[in-house]
Amino acid sequence: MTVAEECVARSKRAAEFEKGLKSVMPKSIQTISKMSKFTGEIPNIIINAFGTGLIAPIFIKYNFLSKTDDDTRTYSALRQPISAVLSVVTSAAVVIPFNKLVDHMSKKGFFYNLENKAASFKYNKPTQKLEELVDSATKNHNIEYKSGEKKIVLPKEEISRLMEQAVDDGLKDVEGNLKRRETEKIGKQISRGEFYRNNKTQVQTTLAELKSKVASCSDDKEVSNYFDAKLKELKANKADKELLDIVEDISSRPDLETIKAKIEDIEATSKKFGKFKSLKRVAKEVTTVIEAENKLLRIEKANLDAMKAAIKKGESFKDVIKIANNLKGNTFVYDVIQKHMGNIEANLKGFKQVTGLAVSLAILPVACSMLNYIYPKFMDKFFPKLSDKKHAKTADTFVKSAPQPAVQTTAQATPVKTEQEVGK
Amino acid sequence: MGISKVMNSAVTFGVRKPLNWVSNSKLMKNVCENYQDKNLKYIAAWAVGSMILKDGLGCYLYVKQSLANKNIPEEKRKFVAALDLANGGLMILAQLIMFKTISNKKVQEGIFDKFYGKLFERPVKKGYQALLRNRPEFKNLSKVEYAKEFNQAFNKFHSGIKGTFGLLTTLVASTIIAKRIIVPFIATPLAERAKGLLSKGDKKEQPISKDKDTFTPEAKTTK
Repeated sequence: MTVAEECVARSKRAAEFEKGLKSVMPKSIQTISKMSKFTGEIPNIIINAFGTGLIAPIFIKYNFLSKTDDDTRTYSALRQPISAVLSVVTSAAVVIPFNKLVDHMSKKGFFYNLENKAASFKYNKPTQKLEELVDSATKNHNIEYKSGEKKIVLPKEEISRLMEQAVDDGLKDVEGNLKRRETEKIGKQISRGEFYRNNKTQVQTTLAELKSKVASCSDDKEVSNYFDAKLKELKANKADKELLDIVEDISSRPDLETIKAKIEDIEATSKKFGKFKSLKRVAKEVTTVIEAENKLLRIEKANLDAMKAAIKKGESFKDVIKIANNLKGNTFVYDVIQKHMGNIEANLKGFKQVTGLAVSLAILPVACSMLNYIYPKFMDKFFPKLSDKKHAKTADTFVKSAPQPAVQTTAQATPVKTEQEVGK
Repeated sequence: MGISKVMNSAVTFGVRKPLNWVSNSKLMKNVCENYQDKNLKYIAAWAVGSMILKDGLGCYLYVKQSLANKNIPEEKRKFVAALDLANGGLMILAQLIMFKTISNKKVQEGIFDKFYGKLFERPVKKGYQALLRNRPEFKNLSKVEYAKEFNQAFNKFHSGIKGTFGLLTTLVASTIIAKRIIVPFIATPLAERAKGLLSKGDKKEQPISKDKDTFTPEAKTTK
């Protein structure tokens, strides 16, 4: 398998892991995962409009704290749905198309600037597939790609920066893992091993009971209920903390099969530790096993340290890849390219934040003016009572039927003016 | 041909050039660095700052335009403007409170861990690791490779779920409860005070006497 093929396979596996985790996680987590669809820009606009248009008016109109008359509150409350509709309209007409335009420009290499080439690789997305990018980077020891018609070539300094970021991520993982193993894991396992050694009968009896009960369970739900009851019983009987931890460890397995496997595993380990004569022997056994596992991590760390030193020295992409190739199944090129993709996404996110703010501020006066124009007209048409149009009509009839003064000019008799006076 | 030339020029000078100018600016350099480093305080400050700017300008424009809008009945005009003012001010305050509380990453993580933390603890994670191991896609991986890739995928999944949970809680707590329930609820009675503030300097309204003739031209000239 070539490095490019290996990288693509890894990318596919990452997707499979995600799919797998989604399918085995509890329903509550699956629901949150599905609801991620409701966290984008469009749902946000819709939910916001729903809140403005349907919820806010209720709290304005039926507000028992307010002493303002009901008509005025209703009149003001009805402004909210109009404002919500206008917000959806302006977002749909300007904000969303603008963000789509930025994405389109990014895929077509429009952010290409001859004077400042930095912008080219900061905002332009590659047109090629990941496989092609990895293949090209592996063969040419360079990161270059097409974005639309434009050819983007990453400068040496940028590749060094990406390599350093990728190596730092790897080091963070390995160092964290090693630290946990050397401190927390060793302590925990020695304490657990000592418990197995000193409480052989109790451990075996409990495991035998769990095994038989689990074997009689028909589904995951039943086994989960059984473990809930068992843990309650152990807590009520003030069982040893280590025994409680063992049962909790088993119960936290997600299904019947993995629970059975975990019981078998603990049974075998506890039998092994039960035969030891001293704490020293327990400690030796635990240390030997963990050290063997740590060996691989130390090799990986040494390799990453060497890569970091080479990058600091200014060694080329080719030379750093050579060091990375010391490790089996290495996909360093993929990590570096993934870093670059992540950076483009982050840059575009920031870019959209800045330009989006400018666009929103620019359309705000338009949206305000539209609301200012439409709102009174809407109220006059559909709620004439509230907008005083009905009062005006009543006043109009009243004026017409009132005894006419002897001297009257046309202008003075204009009913609209008179109505306003009445309104005051 | 003429139209397409005009359109091209409009796109070049109206969209591409300004966007290219922004993309090359010092401000964007700073923004990109912080977004790449996932500097959460910086990103959140931009988000909240943008909201405050938009709400602030919106409040100013709404109040100004409502007060000047002769099509809104005069006795309601000041209340409409006052409600805009109270709404705008409270909205900014609500954003700041939300930023420090429910929308704060640490608070969100605390809430998430309280409800779902156990589902992502190490023993549970090990269980899922064992559960997925037998899938055909992962059979060719060595134990170490599998553990490494599983851990990466699990951590990514965990942070993705946490992120979605955070966005959903912010959406419900901030966008619906705070901004659309609490703010209008407080803003409505507060608008009466704001109305007083906007009316400062105005002539006191004369109550209309029942017997007063307000219709005849004589009456109007004496007013």
